[in-house]
Amino acid sequence: MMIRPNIRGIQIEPASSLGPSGVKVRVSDVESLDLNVKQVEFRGVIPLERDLCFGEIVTSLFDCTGGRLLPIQCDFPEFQEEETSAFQMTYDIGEIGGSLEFQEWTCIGLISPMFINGPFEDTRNLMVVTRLVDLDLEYEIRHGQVISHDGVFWTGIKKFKLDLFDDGYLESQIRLHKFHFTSINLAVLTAAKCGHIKTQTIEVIQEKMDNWLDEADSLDKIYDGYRNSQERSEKYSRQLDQALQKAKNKTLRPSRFLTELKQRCSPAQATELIQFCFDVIMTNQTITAPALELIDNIAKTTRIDTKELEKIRDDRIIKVGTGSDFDIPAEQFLGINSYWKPHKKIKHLESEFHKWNSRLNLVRDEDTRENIQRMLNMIGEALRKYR
Amino acid sequence: MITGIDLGTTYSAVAQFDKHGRPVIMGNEKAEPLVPSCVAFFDDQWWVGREALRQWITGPNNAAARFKRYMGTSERFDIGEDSCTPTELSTRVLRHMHHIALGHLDEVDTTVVTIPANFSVEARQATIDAAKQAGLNMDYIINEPTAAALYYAFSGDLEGDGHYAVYDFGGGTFDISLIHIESGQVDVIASNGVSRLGGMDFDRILQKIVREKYEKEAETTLDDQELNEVPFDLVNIEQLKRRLSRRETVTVFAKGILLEITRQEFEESISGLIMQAEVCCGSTLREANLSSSELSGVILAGGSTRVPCIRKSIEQTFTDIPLIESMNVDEVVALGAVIYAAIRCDSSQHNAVQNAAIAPLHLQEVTNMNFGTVYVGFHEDTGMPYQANSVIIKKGTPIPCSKHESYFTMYDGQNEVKCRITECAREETDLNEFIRIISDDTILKLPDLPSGAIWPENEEIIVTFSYDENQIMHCSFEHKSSGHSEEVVLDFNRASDDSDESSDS
Ligand SMILES: Nc1ncnc2c1ncn2[C@@H]1O[C@H](COP(=O)(O)OP(=O)(O)OP(=O)(O)O)[C@@H](O)[C@H]1O
Ligand SMILES: [Mg+2]
Repeated sequence: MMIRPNIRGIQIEPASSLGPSGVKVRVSDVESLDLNVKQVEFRGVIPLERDLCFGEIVTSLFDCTGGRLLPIQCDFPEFQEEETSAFQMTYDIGEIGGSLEFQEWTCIGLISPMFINGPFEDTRNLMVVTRLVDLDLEYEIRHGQVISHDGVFWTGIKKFKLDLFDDGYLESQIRLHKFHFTSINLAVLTAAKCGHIKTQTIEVIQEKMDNWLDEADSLDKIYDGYRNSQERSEKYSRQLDQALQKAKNKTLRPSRFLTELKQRCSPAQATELIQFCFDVIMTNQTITAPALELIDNIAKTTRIDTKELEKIRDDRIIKVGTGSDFDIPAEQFLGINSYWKPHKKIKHLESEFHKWNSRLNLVRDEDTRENIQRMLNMIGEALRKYR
Repeated sequence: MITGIDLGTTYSAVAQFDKHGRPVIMGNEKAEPLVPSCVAFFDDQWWVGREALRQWITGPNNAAARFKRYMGTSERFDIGEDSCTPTELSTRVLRHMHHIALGHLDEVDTTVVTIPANFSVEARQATIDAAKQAGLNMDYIINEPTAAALYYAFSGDLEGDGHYAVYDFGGGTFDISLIHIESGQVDVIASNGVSRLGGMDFDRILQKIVREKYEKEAETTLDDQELNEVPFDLVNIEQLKRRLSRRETVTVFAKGILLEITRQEFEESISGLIMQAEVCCGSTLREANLSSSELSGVILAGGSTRVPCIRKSIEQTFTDIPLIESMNVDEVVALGAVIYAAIRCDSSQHNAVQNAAIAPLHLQEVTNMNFGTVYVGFHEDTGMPYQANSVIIKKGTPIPCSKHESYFTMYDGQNEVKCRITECAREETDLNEFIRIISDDTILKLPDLPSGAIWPENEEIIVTFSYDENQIMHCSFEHKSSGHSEEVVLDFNRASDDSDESSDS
């Protein structure tokens, strides 16, 4: 599956002039290695406008398929930018003055598909950007983009093709953000199904969003298409606002989001989402049948197994009251399917009873105990129907 | 002299072991055997019993009742200016019961107090604290159904040796125990209960029925104050409930309106609660690997067993098994408690008749929780480490018992192991809030090796838990190759250390 979203690329400075002796960068196969390893080579004379003391050639790498520059990531710290995990190689040229001369093709770095990670998986057009920098002056390169120019003297560019096998990092980033947006919408929907959406509920959603954003900030090492964390956080907030607005207009529907979940959602994410929805319910302090139905649907769509769902539900559900007069059928509450045979329902109800009854005495919190007792009463009532 | 006190949710009773070797209930000055577990403060003094109950009906602001359910929780009961803990209230009841005993006996050397079989650790601890604060000399507590079983084993009212169920449906809790009796040897096999299921819940439901009937007839709604007044108040309702045990219909005269309540409608609305007792009985039989047809009898205890539909439920759950009951189902627990006290104390304290009376009796209890420790495992698919609970002594293991299990160090150079002890009512492996860590401040250090050598991974640590008859558990964590070990001793009978702080009321 391929995602071609509207993602912003990186802007870089134009390549410098070739100079009198036609400075060149080339990318060639390394014959001795048959692992599709490429070498970046450099030849020519670069005239220096001022005295350069300690120089370095810094090479960055982009995916430029489709004209947009997206940085290539690397797993090894030796080949990463200082602040991010974008690919970067440095070649130390030591002390120089006047001009920099390479008479022969000189290898300034190797690129192996084994240790790089592109935004998308495929045969891609890549681009090396090689820059000559003065180590004594300030320079900062982030995601392959020059942030502070003073130390950068010369820029050379070369395009080439490469097969990238691994899952693209941007694909997974985009998938993650999509998952977050889906989650926000489903959380709002859950809240809406509990009755009206309380301020505390919105706070809980916002808190969750903040956690995601903090995580993204700490992962800022990987390019995700946003200019900065501000932009990212605005995008998230917009999602929430829109979802709330739709919920208010009663136009928020689950089907689209459930389809999205079906397409891409790991078991861990499904668990996270269901926990999130229960957290939302908890702020409301009552559970309604439609809200539980939605959660059941999410579990079904994401193929969360019943044991896992039970664990999550157990964990959260006892923190909320079930409404004073059992306004939800126990079956729903306890994950019983209506098509089960009565015998199976009884067995399930009995084992739920046994579970909660033995747990009751170990819970310290009085409110939780009361909720558990209420649950036991509910199970007792439900059993009457079948026995 | 020795006494046994049944500290009940609704009623308490105290018994002595008389010089003829018989357990006997001691009545209060009005010769009433049962004392309402109710505390009040009025006329500048504290009251316990019937006076307090009367106060509780008319002016509940300076009285408290039904607090046993909240033992060991942070729940408070306001009595006038005072905010009392359930422990403080229980202390007053126990002191009162002790006082009744002293009206019959010159002195009391030892007392046994009863608790529901599945009381939480805190509730149990709180009861021990209450006894201590009441100034009782209490070395032992006993589970209520076990006490009832002991009484019947003693009285010879049973149908011979064999398996029995003890069905104790009281005012606040429901308990079920399965026991085996063979010539005076009483072995508990399994014990369970529903800690918040009892006659008081029926009272609430009946109150709701009466209220709704009245509101419908009178076309008004009752406020909270009116619910505390005759005939809607809980004491009156309880009387009504008792009448319904004898008759199919009863009438209530409420503010000029005659209401008719039928047994059928009452029983219909409590059937969900009774279902809970049935489920509990079923799972206890399964736990003990017994079918109900293997039972020689069902021993009844607790006042709520007089409710006709509970009868029916028992007869259905234990088809064709004889029901064994004394006239006074609400006294057998106190009587059993004093027999237990008699068994536990030194024979030199008894006369010959007393010693002969208890000579054939022996009691073996089972653990009522799972005890275990925490270990680290690794997820099969991700390889990520996780902590999990591993049960060493299972719930329902006959006491005394000793079990051991081996665990292994995780990495080269690991030189200490945290000794954690857990408790849970159901075998659970995930560390969740239903697993309690009851001790975790002990660390087993592996001894230093000469010349800077380190211990390799996979060093065996043998964890041994030994639970003795006095409810004391010795837990040892031993490093096998060096023999170094640490021991943690948990005394489940001792009052908690901070009890003194909370004692001043
Ligand atoms: N004839 C009867 N019909 C119905 N209920 C009755 C009858 N007699 C007593 N009860 C009920 O039995 C309960 C009291 O029983 P008991 O004294 O065995 O309980 P307890 O020891 O106070 O409570 P627990 O053992 O649960 O702590 C009360 O709820 C009382 O209403
Ligand atoms: Mg009792």
